[in-house]
Amino acid sequence: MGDFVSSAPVGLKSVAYEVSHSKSGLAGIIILASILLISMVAVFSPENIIEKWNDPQAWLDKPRLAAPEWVTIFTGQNSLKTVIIKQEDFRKDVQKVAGLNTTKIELRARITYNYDTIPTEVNLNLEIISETRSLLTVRWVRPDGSSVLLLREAVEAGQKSVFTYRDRTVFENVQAYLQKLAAPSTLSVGEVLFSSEDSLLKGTAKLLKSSDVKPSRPYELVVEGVSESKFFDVNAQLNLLGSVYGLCGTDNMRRDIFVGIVWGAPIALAFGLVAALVVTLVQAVFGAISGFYGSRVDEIIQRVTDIYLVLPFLSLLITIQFIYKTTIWTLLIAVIALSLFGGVTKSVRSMALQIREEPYIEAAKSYGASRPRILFLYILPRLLPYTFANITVSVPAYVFLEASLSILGLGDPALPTWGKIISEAFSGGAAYYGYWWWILIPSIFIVLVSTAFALLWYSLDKVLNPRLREE
Amino acid sequence: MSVLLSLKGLTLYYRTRRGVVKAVDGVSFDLKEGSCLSLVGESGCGKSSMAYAIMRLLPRNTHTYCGELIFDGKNLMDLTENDLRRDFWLKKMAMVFQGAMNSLNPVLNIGEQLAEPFTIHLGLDKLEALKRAAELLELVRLPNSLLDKYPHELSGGMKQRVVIATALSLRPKFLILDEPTSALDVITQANIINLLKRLQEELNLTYIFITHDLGLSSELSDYIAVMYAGKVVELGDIVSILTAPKHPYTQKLLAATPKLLEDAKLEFIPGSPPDLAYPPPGCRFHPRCPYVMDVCKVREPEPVKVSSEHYVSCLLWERV
Amino acid sequence: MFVGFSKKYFAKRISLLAITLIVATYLTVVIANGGGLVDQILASQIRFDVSSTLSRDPSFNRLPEEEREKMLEQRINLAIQAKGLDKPFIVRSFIYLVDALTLRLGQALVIKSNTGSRAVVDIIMERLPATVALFTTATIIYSVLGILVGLVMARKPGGLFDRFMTMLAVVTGVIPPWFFAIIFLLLFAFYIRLFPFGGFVSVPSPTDPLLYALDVMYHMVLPLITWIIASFPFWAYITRNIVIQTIGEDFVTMAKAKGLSEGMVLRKYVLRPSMPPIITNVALALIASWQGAIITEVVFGWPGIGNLLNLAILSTDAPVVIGAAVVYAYLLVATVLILDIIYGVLDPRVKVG
Ligand SMILES: Nc1ncnc2c1ncn2[C@@H]1O[C@H](COP(=O)(O)OP(=O)(O)OP(=O)(O)O)[C@@H](O)[C@H]1O
Ligand SMILES: [Mg+2]
Repeated sequence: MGDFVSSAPVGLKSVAYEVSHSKSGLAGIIILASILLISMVAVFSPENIIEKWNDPQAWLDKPRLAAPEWVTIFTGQNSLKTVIIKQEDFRKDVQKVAGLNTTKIELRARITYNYDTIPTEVNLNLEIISETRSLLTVRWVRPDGSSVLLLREAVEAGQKSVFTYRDRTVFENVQAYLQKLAAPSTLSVGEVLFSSEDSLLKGTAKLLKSSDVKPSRPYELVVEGVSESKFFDVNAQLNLLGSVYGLCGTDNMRRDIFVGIVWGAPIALAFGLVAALVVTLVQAVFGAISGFYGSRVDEIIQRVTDIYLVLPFLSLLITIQFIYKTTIWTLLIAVIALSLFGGVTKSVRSMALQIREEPYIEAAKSYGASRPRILFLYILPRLLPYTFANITVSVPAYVFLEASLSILGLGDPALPTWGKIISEAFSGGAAYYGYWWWILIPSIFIVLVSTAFALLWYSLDKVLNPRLREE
Repeated sequence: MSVLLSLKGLTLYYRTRRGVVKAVDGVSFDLKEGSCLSLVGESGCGKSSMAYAIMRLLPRNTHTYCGELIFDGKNLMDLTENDLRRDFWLKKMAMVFQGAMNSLNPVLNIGEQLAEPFTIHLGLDKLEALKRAAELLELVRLPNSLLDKYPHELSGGMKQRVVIATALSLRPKFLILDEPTSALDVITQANIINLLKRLQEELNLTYIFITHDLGLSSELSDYIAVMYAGKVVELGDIVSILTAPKHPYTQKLLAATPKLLEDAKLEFIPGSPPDLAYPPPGCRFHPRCPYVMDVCKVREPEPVKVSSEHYVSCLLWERV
Repeated sequence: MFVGFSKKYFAKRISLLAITLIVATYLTVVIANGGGLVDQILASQIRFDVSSTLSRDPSFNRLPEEEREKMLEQRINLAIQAKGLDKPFIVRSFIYLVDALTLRLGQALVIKSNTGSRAVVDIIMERLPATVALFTTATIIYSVLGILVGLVMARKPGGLFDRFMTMLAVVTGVIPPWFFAIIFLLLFAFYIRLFPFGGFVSVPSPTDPLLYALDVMYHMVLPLITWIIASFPFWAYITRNIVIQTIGEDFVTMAKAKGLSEGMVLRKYVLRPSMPPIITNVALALIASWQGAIITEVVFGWPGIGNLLNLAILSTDAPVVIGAAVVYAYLLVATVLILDIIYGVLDPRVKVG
């Protein structure tokens, strides 16, 4: 079907100059450099994020679906950011009860709480080292001196996580407490923990801050363990999770989206760049061969290209991914195989046809230069600027291709990619419930990369098609 | 004979990325009704631009367009584009463009393109207009079977004739032909020249004939204007110019024209024509002129009358 | 305006498209059989065919249960042999190729059509109208809008509007519509609550046919807007480039010199000759658009083939996945064929080609 709009061949040096001296080119370069820098963090970090990313246990100390911390600047609220009281921050008190061969350990955490919101979760991780069962008591002491019993039970040794908001025993204990106060039993555990006893007596829950009492006093969590074991130890960690977290917030599996963004960057760049580079170069070589050799070779390449152009690229890829569930890198190979011929073949061919007629090619022929030599040393270099321009526009297309497959649940099974984050956000109902950060932040990055390449292309095209940019 | 066209300081500059291109820079001359003027000069000296300037068909990147342009007693500069469209273009003045090969719309057939002037300007109905189109084809000696052909089905010479026929459709009295024959072989070329001669007699046309072929221009024209770098450097009746050229550039140009069956060695003019975005100061020809004087580098020459119908812009002649 | 078709041109294009269709389908078959899925689909088709012929036979229905089972198995084995499924894959692949091309796509494993049929063709055909309706409406609107905006851009190349639209085209040109879809859902459905979150009609759907139609249109607005915004700048940009090239042609100046009005020059001498190259250039964009449609449908829950494909992937219903791939190949080829025909009508040069 006819010819494609083609551009005249231009020298590489002038291209580089023009691009780095145009506003759009410079902007593109700056954005890309920043993203490259971010990628470096991921590439050189010793942490094995990829394993961590898929391990739900690894993210328990992060809040679920928390917005980025910087939203507090706009809401004006002093929302709780994550507060973690580590094992070493607990005050430990060990008492041997003489004669009875019993050990009593008391752990006490102090939390100065002056935030405007109650935590979304209060989670306690316990480690109990003992030969026998031990008696465990957990109490919550408010700044006003009132206290709530959360747990009193005999427990086995080992690790124990108490999600106070969801724990049955805690719930029952809190209900008993409310009954004692004759307060409404519909109040949630969080509301009960962080309200003053006075307000509960009045039947309402009013957030009590440390600074509401004079002098200011912290909340306290008291863990008490009693055991008859010869050796006995209790360690605890307390996580108060807020409604905001980090730079980019978290997803529904408590994963820090910032981590996903940083580790997704090199993947997006590598996938996009490799695909764009290989596909464009292969197509350009075929196009140059087609235009330069002419006759039968040309005819065959053109017909094959016509077929490739109409192939249902995406549904073939979908079928491949659906059946073989490959990694992103195998997918890359499939993408390349399905794009050996295409638009670039057509436009490079028409450019090669023009270059072929130029005197210096004739001259090279008359010196007896072989045809492949002429092709690779004389014709292809002339096409490089156009090829570069095409690589820059196709990188974003491939970055989005990966995202498209992710939306269909056919992305890489393990890697955290930007597309996968967006698709998980979408299927996690982020648009429906308004978890905007989960969608928008990876989207901004994917658009940023695309825009950077688009800007580069724009500045390249200005050099390649000056006629289209008059005035 | 009365003056049909009179230019005074006609100027046309283009805006480009490189700067302002001074394609036509203050050209003045008069053209009598019924005469033929050849405009000659090297490629890129502004001949086509001059034609556009006279027709007031300005490209989109026109930077400056000014001067006096009196045609048939009216200053075209004072008119609106609508006036031109209604009363002048094709009705009184027409132009055959340099790229006649590309002057026809590839997706419309010849009949439609030829009939258009009649339907639009004369309000004829389609059938009537097509009849007139057939007559036009006859005028340029083409079969009227061409009416339902498309441009790509015509040869170059045929297209050239169709374009000339279009230009003549409403019998204008003034016609600019921009290199109407340069892309054609000699036989077709001769055919077209004969056609133009015949039309001149039949229709009493006034021509401006643009060419870089001095031989061709001598065939047709009464006057020759020599252009160099956006200016007319010499203008005169054909005999004076061909036998007694005064401007060094004209002399060089004549020496560089091949003459059939003569063994004279062809001269060529050293150097290249100036970049019209940054023309040299003073006389624009001075960097290539064999007789260059110091004053040529600073002063621009004014046209000097050397005989009754012969003007030259050269400081050599100003001093005499 | 009608130019008359060139038999040679169309014979060439049609045979090419036919080959493309065969190649695409065959690739699908080969890829799919890597997991033995094609055989599975073939077997399911045969089982269905055999059992439905048998069940129409009264003498078969009178047999006791056990006998019936045995007979069924026997017949199925016979049919498998008759069909050549015991042959090597290379032979079987061609058998399935023919089946796929004639839309004998087997029985779905999980998904059912609204009428209760398990035939993949029925399931797909039921979804086809929704896809085609959305796609063609969007395409018509954004192509017309794109061409108009492109003309405005070409009026002042390098002007503010032109540069803005070019930038927009470059950026939207690389961003697929589904991406806008997600953002727009967040914006228009969640925050502004102007449009529904997706789907085809409200639940429960209005019983009045007029209200029903209005409700469908209401659900279509956001997908349409999304698609149009994502696509028209690129068309505008293509149009602009080609129109700028056309405006530089001598025949346009000549048309002006003929005293034609500006509108006429624009219509007959700029736009008309620009159409064939515009069509050539947007063909690729349209093919990409079809494929993007798959995901746009998923995001909007639009009950077309794209959504069906997603459902099939989620429920690992292989016959439906493969069937949808085959139908997409048909859709692409049909689109290109339509473009070829329009091209043939618009460009007289095709007549001799
Ligand atoms: N639309 C335009 N925009 C910018 N520059 C132009 C334009 N048209 C012509 N020029 C420049 O103006 C100068 C004169 O061009 P013009 O076409 O008038 O020359 P010419 O004498 O007709 O040449 P030729 O004999 O090759 O036709 C050239 O330097 C040309 O590059
Ligand atoms: Mg010219």
